[in-house]
Amino acid sequence: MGDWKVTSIVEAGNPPDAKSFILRPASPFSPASTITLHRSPVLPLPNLFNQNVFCWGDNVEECVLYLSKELNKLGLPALFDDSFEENPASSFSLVSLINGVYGLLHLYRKNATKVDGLEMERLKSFSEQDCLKNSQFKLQEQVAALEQEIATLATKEEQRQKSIRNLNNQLKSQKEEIAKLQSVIASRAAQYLHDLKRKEQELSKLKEKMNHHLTDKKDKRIAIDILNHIGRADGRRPLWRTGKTESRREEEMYKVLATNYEAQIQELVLDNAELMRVLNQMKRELRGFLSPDKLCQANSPPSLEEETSVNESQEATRGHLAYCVQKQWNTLKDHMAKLGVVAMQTSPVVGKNDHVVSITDHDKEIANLKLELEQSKEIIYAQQHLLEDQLAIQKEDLTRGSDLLEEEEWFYKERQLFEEQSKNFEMERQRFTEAAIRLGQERKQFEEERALYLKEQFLNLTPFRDQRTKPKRKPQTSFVVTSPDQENLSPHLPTQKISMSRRCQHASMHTPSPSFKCTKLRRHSLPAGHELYEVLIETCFRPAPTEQLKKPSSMRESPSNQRDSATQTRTGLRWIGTGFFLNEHDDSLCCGHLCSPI
Amino acid sequence: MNFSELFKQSNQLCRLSPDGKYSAVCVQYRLVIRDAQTLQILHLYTCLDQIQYIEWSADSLFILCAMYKRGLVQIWSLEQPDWHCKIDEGSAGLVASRWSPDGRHILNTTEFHLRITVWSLCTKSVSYIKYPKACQHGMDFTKNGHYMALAERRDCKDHISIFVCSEWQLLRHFETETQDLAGIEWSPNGCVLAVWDSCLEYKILLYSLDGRLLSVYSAYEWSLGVKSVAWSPSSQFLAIGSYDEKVRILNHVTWRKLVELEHLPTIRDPKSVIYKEVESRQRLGGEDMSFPPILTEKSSLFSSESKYNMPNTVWIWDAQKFKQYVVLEQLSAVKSFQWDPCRARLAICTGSNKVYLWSPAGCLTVQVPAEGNFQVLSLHWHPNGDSIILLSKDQMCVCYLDTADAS
Repeated sequence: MGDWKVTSIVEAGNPPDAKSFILRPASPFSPASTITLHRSPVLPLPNLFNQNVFCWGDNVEECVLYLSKELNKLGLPALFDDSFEENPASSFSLVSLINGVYGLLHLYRKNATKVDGLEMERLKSFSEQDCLKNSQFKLQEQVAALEQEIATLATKEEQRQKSIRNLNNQLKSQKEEIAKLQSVIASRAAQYLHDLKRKEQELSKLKEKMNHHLTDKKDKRIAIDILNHIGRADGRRPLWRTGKTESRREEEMYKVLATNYEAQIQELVLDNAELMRVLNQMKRELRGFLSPDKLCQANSPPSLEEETSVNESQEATRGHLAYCVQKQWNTLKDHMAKLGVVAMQTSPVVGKNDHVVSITDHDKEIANLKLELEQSKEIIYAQQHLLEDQLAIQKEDLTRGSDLLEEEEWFYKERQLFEEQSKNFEMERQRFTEAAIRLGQERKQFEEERALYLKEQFLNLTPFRDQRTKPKRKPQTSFVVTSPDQENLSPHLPTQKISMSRRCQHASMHTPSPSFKCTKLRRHSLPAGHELYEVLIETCFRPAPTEQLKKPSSMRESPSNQRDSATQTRTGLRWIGTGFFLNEHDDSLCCGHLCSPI
Repeated sequence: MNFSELFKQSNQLCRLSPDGKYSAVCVQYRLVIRDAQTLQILHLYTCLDQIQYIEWSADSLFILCAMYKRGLVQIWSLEQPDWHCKIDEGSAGLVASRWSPDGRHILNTTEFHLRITVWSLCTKSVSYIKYPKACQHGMDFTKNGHYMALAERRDCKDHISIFVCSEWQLLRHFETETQDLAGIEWSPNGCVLAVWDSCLEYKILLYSLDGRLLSVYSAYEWSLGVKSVAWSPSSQFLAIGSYDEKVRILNHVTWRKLVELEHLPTIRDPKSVIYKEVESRQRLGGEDMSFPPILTEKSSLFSSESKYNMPNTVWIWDAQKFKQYVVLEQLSAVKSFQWDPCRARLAICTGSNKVYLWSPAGCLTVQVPAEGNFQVLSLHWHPNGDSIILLSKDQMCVCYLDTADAS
């Protein structure tokens, strides 16, 4: 549409007009265009390419001409009257213009529909294209998948082919091996035969040689030593060996053979006759059985004929007879097959099946026996179960009792243990209490004696020294002396000692004595009079208290013997001997601590 | 069932006379003839050396004692205890000795099977037969005693000579088609001679009395072949036992296989009865076959065999139907079995101290009541089927059966 506008620009050649030639939009019939026809043609520059401006007042005729030409080109009648050639300037006809416009409109509509159609087609084609593309894509995928499959199948086939080839090769090799082995066997056989022959020949040679030797030697040892001849078994005289006898022997031999063959033939004839009879019987029976049947009606006449012919010459028709019976048998079989299983069960079987009856009897018996066996087995099982149940019940009682018994035993044991332990604890407690009492008492005593001692000491400081020897010589007063550091060290010791003493005296068990502590304590004791101290210990803790008592008394000074022994007897039994030892040199009373006897 | 006391014997040489009256027992070099019923000693003969073989003559009048080491054969007479006969083979040596069926000739096989010497007790004459074959059953007499077949080997080939026993006349001499003949046996009717090859090849040849080849039978190739052969008493069947654990029975008309009897370790036939000796089962054995005598036409025949691979088993086949009838499983290997000469009764011994009897009515196991260990190693029926002689290593015992004792 723009072309003619451009050409019109060229034709106009008027610069201001040229500028005013603008490409019109698709609607040349817009009111703007009509307006521009009447307006002033001079337009500002920006409107140079305004599409609405094609014609202005000056170039109407040119425009009309141009339009007419164009319309002519398009196939529409010109815009001019018939009087165009005469007066082109005024021959413009509005009617023709309107017609032209109508024609253009028509054309336009046609073209528009065409365009729509084309657009539709274009869209369709696009969608089809998409479809096709999709389908193509899918097909391509399919193709790829199939190709893969093909590839895998091809590989499999290759493998199979390989295996086939392998197997073929193996087969070949095996065959070759077989052939080889056979040839080896054959060759070996030949070889062995050859060897055998050789050896036999050697052997025969040896035998010949030996025979020769034997016969040559005329060994007198080879002899028979018989008392007297005995007669022949059959009583007859022996015959000379002549040709006659030989021929007679031959005769006899042939006679034997001939008789044997005749006997055989007789037997065979009899067998044959028997078989023929049986066959004939079979045939007759079959015929009788098959004749009521429509299928076999055709067979009956020829069989009748054959029977008669058979009766005449058995040998000629032996084959026929067998054939005939065979045919009948086949038809019977077909018939039976047709009747089916039910018919077989109900139809009477021709009496060839005697052995079947016996078999079924046998089977019945066997079945009965089996039934009985099963029943007895069941009974046995049931009894077994009952027995087991009973045993189980009994067992349960027992097991329950036994469980309880176990528990009871356990409880009993535990109780025993517990009682023992409680006893032990009681004993211990008693001991401890006694020990504590003793301790208290001894403490008291100790305090008293301490007080005594102090008093004595105090008194010893006085000049009345000699009179105090007696009390000095009471080292055997046995009481527990606990030095302060001893108390710190082992508060248990006195109790232990008490218990130990008790035990010693009561001849009960010994406790493990802390001998090392005793040694320590020994150290604490004063060095002076150490030996005396030890002796005291030994003597005090000897198992025989009487001896114990006597010895120290012997060591003591005589005047105090009786008294000491008395005190000792009094105290030694009850107390551990501890004590003082007097250092007579410096008159210091050392209180020591008797260690344990062990 | 009664058992006699034990008697000493050596080499298991204890034979009953064919007429059933006497029993001969060897003890080292002594021959003790006893009455068969009372076991009373009738005669006592002393031979020159330890006896290795004894044989009664067919008429029960004479008995031969062979001493192979010294090559001596001594013959004693029962009618005349003073009569004596001694045959010395000297340097020729002696490996076998037997009576001829007429009871008047002795056939000695010399060492290395060099020759067979036929000594006549009637004429003091000697005949020699050269090249006898050294095989298991190289010589056989017909039942009627008229003919003798002998296998020979000449020029590395097997031959058979048929002699007429009355004059020791050669009747026929023919070559056989065997590689290495192992045995020959006449049929009971004396018309057919069965010849079989060694076990390397399965081949049985059947020759007629006049030397014609009647038939050849070979079941298979390339495997161990025939082990033992037995004729049926009626000469109708020939049973061939082979190393493939099967017995094939040929019929006398066509000499073709009638039936093949298999000895399977597992028995599937529900009709066959199996007797099993209590306690364990075992495997392995020897293939011997024997047919019992024909009793009556009605009774069925049995053939029994013990198998190569199952020596503890005795298979009894019904010869009428050729079906498996009974299988007897023993605890240990069957040492020998023998049919009762008169009826269908089988006695088996396995080396234990029991003797086993089977009859169609049932099975019976009897322990030999003997102090110490009496192990039955072999047994012999009395010709009248009333008693069995049981032999252990060095003792013998007679077992008396009641005739009514059928089971």
